[in-house]
Amino acid sequence: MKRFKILCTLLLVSFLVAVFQDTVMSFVEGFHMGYGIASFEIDNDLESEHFTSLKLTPKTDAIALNEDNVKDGAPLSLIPSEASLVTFHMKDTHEKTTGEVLISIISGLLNLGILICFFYVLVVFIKIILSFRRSEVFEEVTIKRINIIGIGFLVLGAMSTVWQGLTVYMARQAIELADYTISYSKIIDWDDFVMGLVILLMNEILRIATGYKKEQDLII
Amino acid sequence: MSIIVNLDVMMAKRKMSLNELSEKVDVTPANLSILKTGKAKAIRFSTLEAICEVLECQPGDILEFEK
Repeated sequence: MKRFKILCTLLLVSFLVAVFQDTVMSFVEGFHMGYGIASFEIDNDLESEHFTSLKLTPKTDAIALNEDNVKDGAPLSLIPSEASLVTFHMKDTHEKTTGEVLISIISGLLNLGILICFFYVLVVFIKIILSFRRSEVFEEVTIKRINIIGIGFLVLGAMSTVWQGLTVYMARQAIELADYTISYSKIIDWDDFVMGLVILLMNEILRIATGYKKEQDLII
Repeated sequence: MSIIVNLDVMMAKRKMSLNELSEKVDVTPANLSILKTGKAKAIRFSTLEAICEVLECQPGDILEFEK
């Protein structure tokens, strides 16, 4: 049991560090980028549109030397696989169609849903780890919580996929790059789906083990 | 369940309380209560042996099969 508690503590610490790195730091970076874009908009009297985390695939196999290595001054090739694009246009010159407004609203709602779902899963996950540390493993409430996390990951995966699909659709409507294609190929968030299914599978094993424990408790 | 536990009958015959029996067979009163009320799924040979020894009876005096 000591080993189990140590592993729980390590998992909790790693998880919190990962959340800080992936979510908090990303939020801070996003905030800085948003602030920069907003300042640029105000200074130049422009409006902007953002398309984040787009997967890019090169149109040709030809390598272009499009960057410089500051250390030795040699040219190098920068090949982006994921990029955020920001378009600018003069104020009141770009009238959005009803379809575009609708997609923007759906995209915003999905973003909000992803955020709420993520934090709910986070809270439930911390509750589970804390109950594990109190040696409450084979309990109905633990099984329910793990089930919520598994389903949460599947929902997160589904919402992320739809959101990414809408972003790519909107980006392709507004932008066409000379050397890269904005790709639909990686819109499905397999990591979340696989994680959700693995958690649900492990939970079923825990459910069976809890059943055995209940029976064991009734052997005198 | 077709196996009936007659532990309460044997305890009454020997005029022994649940707490007294639990102390003598080294099983918690809660577990003996589960056994007495027929909620138990199984009984270990070691527990059965200890109960039989304390109550001076046979396993058949405690467990009964009913169709």
